[in-house]
Formats: sequence, C-alpha cells, structure tokens
Amino acid sequence: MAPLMAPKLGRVSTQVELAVCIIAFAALLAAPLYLNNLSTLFFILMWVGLATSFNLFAGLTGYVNFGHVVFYGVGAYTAALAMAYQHMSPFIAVPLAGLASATLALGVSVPTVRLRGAYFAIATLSINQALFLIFDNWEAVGSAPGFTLPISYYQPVTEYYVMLTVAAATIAAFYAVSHSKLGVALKAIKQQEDTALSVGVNSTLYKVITLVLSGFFAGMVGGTAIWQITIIDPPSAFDITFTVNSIAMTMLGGVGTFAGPILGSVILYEVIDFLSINYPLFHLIVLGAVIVVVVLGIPDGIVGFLKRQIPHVRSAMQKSKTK
Amino acid sequence: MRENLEKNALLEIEGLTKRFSGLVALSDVNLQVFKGEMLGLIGPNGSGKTTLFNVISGSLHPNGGRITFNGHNITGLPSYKVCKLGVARTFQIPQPFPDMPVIENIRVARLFGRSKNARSDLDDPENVCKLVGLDAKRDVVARSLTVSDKKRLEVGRALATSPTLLLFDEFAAGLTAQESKWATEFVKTLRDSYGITIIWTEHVMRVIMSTVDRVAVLDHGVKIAEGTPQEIVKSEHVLAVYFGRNKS
Repeated sequence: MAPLMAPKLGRVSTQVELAVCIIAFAALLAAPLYLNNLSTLFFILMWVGLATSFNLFAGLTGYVNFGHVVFYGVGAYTAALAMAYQHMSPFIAVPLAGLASATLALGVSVPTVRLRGAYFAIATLSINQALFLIFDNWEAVGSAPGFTLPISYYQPVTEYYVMLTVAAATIAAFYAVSHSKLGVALKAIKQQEDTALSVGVNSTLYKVITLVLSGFFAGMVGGTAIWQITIIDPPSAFDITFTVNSIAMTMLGGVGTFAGPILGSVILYEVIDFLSINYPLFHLIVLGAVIVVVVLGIPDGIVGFLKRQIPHVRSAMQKSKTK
Repeated sequence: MRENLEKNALLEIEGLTKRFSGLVALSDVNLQVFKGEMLGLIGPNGSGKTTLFNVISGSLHPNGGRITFNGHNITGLPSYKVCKLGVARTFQIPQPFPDMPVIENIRVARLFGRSKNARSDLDDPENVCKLVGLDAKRDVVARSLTVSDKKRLEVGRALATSPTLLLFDEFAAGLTAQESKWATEFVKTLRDSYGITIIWTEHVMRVIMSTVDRVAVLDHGVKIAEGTPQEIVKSEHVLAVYFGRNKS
C-alpha cells in the first residue's frame, strides 16, 4: 500500500512529522510536572481531538459534516449520565461515550450518506437541530436545565491524561485510515465519486465506516470534556459553534492533512478563547473571516502552503550550492 | 459464426425501459452481446446510448426489464458490484481522479476492480500504463493531461479493473484523425489479443463502421436496427433517422 500513497517528498516529511509528534507527545506527557494549571492544555487537546475527528470524515471524503457537534454532545451526555446516575468509572464512561456516538453516526449515515455535496451538509445541520430539541425536552436526561456531575469525579491530572490519550488515538486513527486501503478509497471518492464507483469502490460502505470512526472519536472527546466541564445542558452540548470551530481549525491548518487540524486548533484556540471572553460573540466574526481568508488565500491551509514551498526552497538551495 | 456466438451471450438485455419522469429514454430494448465480439452502438444525439450504458453499469436504475451478465442478473445492481463482476466503462467526458498522477489512477482501479484475472499483464498497473501509451506521463497529475491523454487514461483505468466486457462511451469523440485511428486500432487489439468483449457507442458512424462486428442502432430510446455494418448502412430506416429521408 505504501508506494501507492507516498508522494516523492512523502518519506522525508513523514519522518519529520513523526519526530515532531513524538517530541510533542513527550512534552505533553510530562506537562503535569511543570504546569500547575492543565486546563488550557486540556482544552487545546479537546479541540485537536474534535478537529481531527472532523477532518477524518470531512477531510478525507470531501463531505462537510455540519452536524459534527452532535457526536461530541451525545458522547458528553452519555458519559455524564453514566457518571452522575450510574456512578460509573470515567474509564468505562468515556469509551461508552465513544460507542454511543459511533452508534449515532451509524444511524445518521443511513439517511445522509447517499446525499451529495450541499445536500449532505444541510441534512447533517438539521440533525444537529433535531437532537438539540430532543435533549432540550427530554425529562429523563434533565431537559433544558441539564445537570451537573458530583464533585467526587474531580481529578484534573487524570482528566488531562485521558484527553491526551483520546486526542493521540484520534490522530493515530486519522493516520492509519489515510494510509490504508480505506484511505485510498476515500481519496478516490473525494476526487471523483462516480469514477470511484465505476472501478469497484463501494463508496457508501467506506463513507459509513469513516463517519462511524469520526463519531466514535468525537464521542470520546465529548465524554472526556464533560468530565472536566462537569455541567451539561443542551445549548452547550449541541452548540453549533463547536462545529464551526472544528471547520475553521481544520481549514486553517489544511483540510485532509494529518497535521492541519492539530496546527489549526493550537493556533485558533488561544484566539477564540481570548476573543470569546473579552468580546463575546465577536469571535464568530473572526472565525468567519478566517474561513473566508483561508478559502481565498490558501485553500490548502498552512500545511498545504508549506508543502508548496518545499520545491522552491530546494531549488534555492541547489542554486546556492552551484554558486 | 453467428450461431456459434449465440450460444455464448455474455450480456443479455431484455425489455429494458428507463424513464426520466415523462421522457422515455429507453423503451423495451432487447439486445444480446456475444463473447469476444465488438458491438457498435450508434444513434443520433439523445437517442439513449449513454443512458443504456448507465443502466448496464449500474449508475441508473431501470424502470423495467432485465440485464443478465455472464449468468448473473445485474439489473439494478450498484456500479461497484457490476464492476467487480467484470464490466468496465469509460466516460464520454473523461472523469479521472484529477489530483492523482496517471499511475495512481490506474492503481486505484486495480486495487478495487475485479480480483481474479487470468492475464497477468493487465494485473500490473505499470503494464496497463504502457499499454495505453502513457508510460512517459505516468507521474503527471491527471488534471493536467490533454484531452487525448485523458481518453487514454479512461481506457487504462477501465482495463485495470480486469473487465470481460468494456463499454466505450464516445471514445473517439474530440480526437484528431490520427488519434482516432490509434483509438480504433487499440480497441481492436483489446478484442483480438485480450479477448475482451466490447460495446462501443459513437454518433459518428464512420469511425466504428470499419471496426465492429455488429451494429445496433438506437433512436429515441428504441432499437430500430441490428446487423452487420454492411446491412446497417443499407437500412432505409437507419438512413431515415440519420438523414431525415422519408421511408419509402
């Protein structure tokens, strides 16, 4: 499979990416030793997980899931209910959250995955609204006021490590999918779905598998996030800005790339956090502007922009050598 | 020869009908294609040639009728299943995977196409690339190919799925005289050296009349004639359709 995927620069840049990942992971692993407040890192990792799980489906298939937050929300609700009412260990509640969202993704895929282009986006957006309304009126899960987790679950360092694990697993899953036969199928579907079908690619199956994976990881992110946030209600669990943030972060970094959503979340998290605290709602204008500027200026994001510079840098280096 | 072939119908179409709301694109079409033959499918623009291909290859569901391929009922099967049974197609307007290099386009088809193949030279994407004359451009991104190279890639991709039946949709359209000569020779090679059964649509009769074994003529979704090229060019009905002559 490897020779099919690897472009000419692939080997070098993959090694660099891997080295950067290992160093970053080691630094994050040691963070509790040198940081008193892990909350910022926790939420950066949450966005890395959300944006990467968004990218897993949207970036690889080319279909924009405007309802990505429902996987986060249902995961968060599942874990919160399991912990608050069933007194379940978070170590069971978080994987359970992933499974709940994966099941939801499977359900969502039945009516939506055959839709093309904008129809898919609109259908997923309406699923977001539908789930918000269901949870807002569902007495058994606390309806509109929501509920809170008992204080006994407060374990900031453990929460941090679980989020780190979930984010790393999401990144690993993205890498594995994009370097597998499934990844080849998705690449073909993204570029020309009718042709993919005509050469034997079962596009529906591959899209369903990918949406389920995307849902599974976003659900675990939600389950872990709510453990730290402790308060859950429908407006925060099904907040469309979560989807918008994921889109903006992924696009800024580079849609469909491995490093894109990671870079995008690290960069945008601070900006969004600062703006939404100091200028509430103004951050949405900034996000909109980011999306517009990225689409017009660097449609392949920071990663794509950098990759395009590599040949220029190489030729410049060769020129200086010959001189 | 005819009788011998009839025992080996690879593709059998019976009473095939396809409607687009009010418009009848295919009306009760019956057609047999025999193993190893090259069937020309001709007709004026809008006569239903591409619709027929779309229905055979599973892009469209028929409203009625039955399609049997190699003993399998493929009526209404999705495209990817039809492909895995051994039916490949080219698109009238080339539809490569635009951001993949030529060789990767072919590799995708090999990876997902029909798994079993007796002819090992079509199993190797590099060989397929050579066969269609694109080995010098194997690393060129598909979107930057010329029209005629895109057409070569269309065949290459279709061949890499290891088909027993290949559907050529207006393969020579948009090609120069020299290129279309290559196309004709190439399609002949596929039939003669590789034993691939071929249906070739074209609305320019001249291109395929000298090459095909038999011709079927569609007009307004109805099969109006079928026979050897010699019989077809003499058919009053076909001439009427093409040149507007009154039937005498």
